[in-house]
Amino acid sequence: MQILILTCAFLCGFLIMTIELLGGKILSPYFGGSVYVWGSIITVFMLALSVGYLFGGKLSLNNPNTRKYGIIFMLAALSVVPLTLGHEAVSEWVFDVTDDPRYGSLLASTVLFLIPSIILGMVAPYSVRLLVRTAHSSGQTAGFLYFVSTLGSAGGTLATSFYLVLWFKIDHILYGSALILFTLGLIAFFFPQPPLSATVNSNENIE
Amino acid sequence: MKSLIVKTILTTLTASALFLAAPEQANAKIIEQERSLYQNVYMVEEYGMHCMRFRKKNKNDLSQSCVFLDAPEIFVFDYYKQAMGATFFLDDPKEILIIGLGGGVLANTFGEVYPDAHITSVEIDPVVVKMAKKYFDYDDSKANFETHVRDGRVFVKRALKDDKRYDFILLDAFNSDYIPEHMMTKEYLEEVKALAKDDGIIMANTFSTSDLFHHESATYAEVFGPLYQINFKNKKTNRVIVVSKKPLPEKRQLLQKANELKGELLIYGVDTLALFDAISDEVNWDTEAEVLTDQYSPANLLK
Repeated sequence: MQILILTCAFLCGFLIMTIELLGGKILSPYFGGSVYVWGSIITVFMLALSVGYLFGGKLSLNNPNTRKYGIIFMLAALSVVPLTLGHEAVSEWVFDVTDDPRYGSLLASTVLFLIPSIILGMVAPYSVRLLVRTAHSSGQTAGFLYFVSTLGSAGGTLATSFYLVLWFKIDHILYGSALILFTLGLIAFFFPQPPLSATVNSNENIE
Repeated sequence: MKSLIVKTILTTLTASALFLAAPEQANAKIIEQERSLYQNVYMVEEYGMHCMRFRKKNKNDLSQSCVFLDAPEIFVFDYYKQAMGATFFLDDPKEILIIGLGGGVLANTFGEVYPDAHITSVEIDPVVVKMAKKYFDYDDSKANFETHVRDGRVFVKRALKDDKRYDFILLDAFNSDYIPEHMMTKEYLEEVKALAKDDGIIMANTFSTSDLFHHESATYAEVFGPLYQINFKNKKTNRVIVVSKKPLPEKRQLLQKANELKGELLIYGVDTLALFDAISDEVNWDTEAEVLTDQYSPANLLK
């Protein structure tokens, strides 16, 4: 259980940063590579993650289990597909509306990245819920979870900017990310495990 | 005329001697610096020149633009001279587009060589434009000059949609490392190609040594087909690429222009016959090298 959740959280953190970094490459042909464009991308990701944390936390109140956890990953994977297929068309469309490096890139990043990163943001609080055993240790559990997922983010940033863009095309990295997310979702869905916490009657949905 | 030639030779010799010597910091004095959104812009006075740099240390000659204080008309860099090779291909251009103003040395010079041309310069960094005006005599209050402060690629995309077309496009956008990644790709060059008039000429300033050389050459060849490179023998610094929408003329057809322009370009320290010799259509790159695209342009990693 712990290994599964921690692996999922690590890779989720990793892929969030992979997608965020590729955002810069996706938008630079249309809005340049200036600090404005990065500002837009980071704003959208932070905003989306904050909303995702809220949703993920809310969702974890109601009978938390790894099946639902798996569904979050599969939805995240599916949301990366239209991003990959449509980023050129969306950028082109936004460019027709405005080529302002600030608001153009903000609009384009919102359309492209808001939904995938909201869904990815739901993973962290849901992971905490699945891992927490007692109220007493909940802070430590949450701290460890954030340690693992943020470590994943550091890894994702480094790997993407130093190596992945040298080895692969942008779209291939995005499809690869979707594939990894979907596989994690399938594993969590088809190998459900009870939450570690004793406070929830979790046996209802577990075969 | 004679004194001009002597002055030219002397200045050129001095310049060469200075560049051969290891560039020490001893003589360099920072006269102005300003942090912009994109980089630190330094104006340096050294060896009787004003130079604009984006880094404090001058390792491997990273100056973006330089002029001699006592002979501003004479080119400091070989690449400026190589860039004048474009004049052999041009026939009285009316609309000139320069992506990457820098100090504005080339904008000024093309403005002098083609006084009837309208010269549009694009520069992302407003501080660079300010320094160009202050130290390099760039003056866009003249009727035939205009400056746009924006990303070069964004300008090109917008100009295409606005149906602008140019007789001559000069690609010279550099940051403190090299050419920005999104301005080296096949898609960008296709946009630039579309922005040129049917008989338009496109010229690019690039480095001749780096792992990127092969990828870059392959990308130009993919978009434009055959290309000319202008590179002075045994000079391992910059090379200038000349391409066109139409098939380029044979090299020997350029000789007439080289002769005609001999006197005019001498003012800048350019020997047009040496320049003619430096033009080559030799395929000296690995034609198997992967083409750079918006999907794959790890330019700074390859460098």
